[in-house]
Amino acid sequence: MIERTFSTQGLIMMVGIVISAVSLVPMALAEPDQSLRFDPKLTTDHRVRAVVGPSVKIDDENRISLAWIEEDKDIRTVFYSRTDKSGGPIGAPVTVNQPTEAPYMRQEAPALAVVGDDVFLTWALTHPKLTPDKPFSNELRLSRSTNGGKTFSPSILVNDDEQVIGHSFDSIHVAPDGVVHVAWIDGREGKKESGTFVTRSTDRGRTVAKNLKVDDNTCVCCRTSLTTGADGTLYVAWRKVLPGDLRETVVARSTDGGNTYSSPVIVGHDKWVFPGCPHRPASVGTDRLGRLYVTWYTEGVDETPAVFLAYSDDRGETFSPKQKLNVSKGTFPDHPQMAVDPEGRLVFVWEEQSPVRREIVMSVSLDRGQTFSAPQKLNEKKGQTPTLSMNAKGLAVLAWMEHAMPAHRMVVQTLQLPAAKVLAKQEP
Amino acid sequence: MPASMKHTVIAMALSLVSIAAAGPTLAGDPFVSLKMSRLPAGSMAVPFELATLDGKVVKSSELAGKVVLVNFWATWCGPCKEEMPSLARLQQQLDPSRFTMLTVTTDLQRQGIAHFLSQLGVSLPVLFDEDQEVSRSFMVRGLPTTIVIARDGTLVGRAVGPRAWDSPEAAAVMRHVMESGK
Repeated sequence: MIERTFSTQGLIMMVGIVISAVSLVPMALAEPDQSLRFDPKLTTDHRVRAVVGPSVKIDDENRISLAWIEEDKDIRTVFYSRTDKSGGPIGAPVTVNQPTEAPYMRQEAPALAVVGDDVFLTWALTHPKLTPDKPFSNELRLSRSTNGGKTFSPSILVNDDEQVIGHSFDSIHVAPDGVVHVAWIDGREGKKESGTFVTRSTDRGRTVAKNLKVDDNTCVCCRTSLTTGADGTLYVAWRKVLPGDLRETVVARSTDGGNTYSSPVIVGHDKWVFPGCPHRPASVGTDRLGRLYVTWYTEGVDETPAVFLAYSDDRGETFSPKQKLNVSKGTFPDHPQMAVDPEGRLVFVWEEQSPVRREIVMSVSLDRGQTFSAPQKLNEKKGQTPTLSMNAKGLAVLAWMEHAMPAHRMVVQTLQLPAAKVLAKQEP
Repeated sequence: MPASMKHTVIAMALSLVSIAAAGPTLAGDPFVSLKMSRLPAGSMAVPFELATLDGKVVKSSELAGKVVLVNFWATWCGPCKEEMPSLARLQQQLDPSRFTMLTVTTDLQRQGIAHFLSQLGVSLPVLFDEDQEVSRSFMVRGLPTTIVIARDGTLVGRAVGPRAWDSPEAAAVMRHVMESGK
């Protein structure tokens, strides 16, 4: 039997959180930073059974891309929408999957990458060879559009094993050289723990290369994250299971365009012992000096929920001390995501939860992760699944879902950051 | 905040205070043997109302008078699926007129879940928490999480991570709650 040590300290913190929720003490949120320029929120209501997502990207022309999955009347559909300018309106949804394809519904949005008019999405398809004894099996598919998301080509299979198992918790990223990289988790080797796998496409998503295993003992339910440095170094992050059920966020790098990867490096040394499924991914990004930023969730040795940032200036060989981003005493932080622009301006979004509250908050760093603005609430109704993206001009787009019963409300908001306080220029 | 919800939250807070204060260190405590955090009497479970796999609705209010085990799980959670047969065996050991087992998932794989349970040869009620409201109101932070509710609706135990639910230790916890009410 797996044992779990009991943490009094963690529970005392939880007590404080719950008591604070009872007394309705406002979260420690600063007044809106006047130097941040928010555009009005754009919303769409989805009167369907379920919506998972969204994923969001913004390009240097300020065009916003969204992707999500809906289920209605037992029909599941992957959708994409492009908004041509940051003020909206949100573009009409375009169906990504073919009518014959049955997307596998899970609590994850499609992974999305956009370069110009090339749009790439990965999503899970209910495995066509699914058997009653393996009912949760799925294939990882790659869909692409070459006309800005007006139409999508039939999807291609990403995983090259033929096993009837799960292939998911995927991420996608287009490197500056145009190569499309995909990472995901599957258990094709039949080991107790799954592995982290990658592949790439050098022909704009028409085909993908032979799959490559990066590492074993991957926490099966925490999504992967991909990014590239200015020098072309490719990074993939995931949560690794270490002996004793330690769960550590790790990063591996490839300096040869994805041919090979280094051994993973532990980012935060959290020593979080967790015998189950955290289901909380890391988020990675780089600035133009090549600083690699990692944001993640952990409960550490004292089982206290927290979201952290650490960075690396040596291409992921070592990491800075981790800095805690959440400050609220009244809620739990959860599901952090991060975006960074070339100047090292960072935006973070995450959830703050209590039994009765679900807030979306954001924080900004204009000095490459040295100081952070006070978390600022964004949502109006109960919010969840925040995500974001930022272009090279410091225009960030944030998106999340709100409970607007009977509808699921998708909210999109852009945010122009002021100039960086510490420019990411070449240092001596 | 509605009075009932405020009461619930206060109760949760009190239960957590008691956990922190007491800790599972009492010799002979069946909760200790199962590595289950004991919650103090008086902390009320959050009321819920969820649809089942076959479309029926389960209301927690209708379970008053029974000890209820609520297991939160997901289809992608290996440890969750591994412990399910033992949950079913525990269910078989206990008097259904005094004990109810519920599993709650935020997943949306209704057909797959039906196949999965059929393949396992187990019969467990699956409730769908599509908006994650119930999971979050019970402060479920990871999976599997299992909560035991006493006959009077008070929270009595919480286990995070898998357990051997068909073990003598698990049965002892349930019988203890069924007989003592706490």
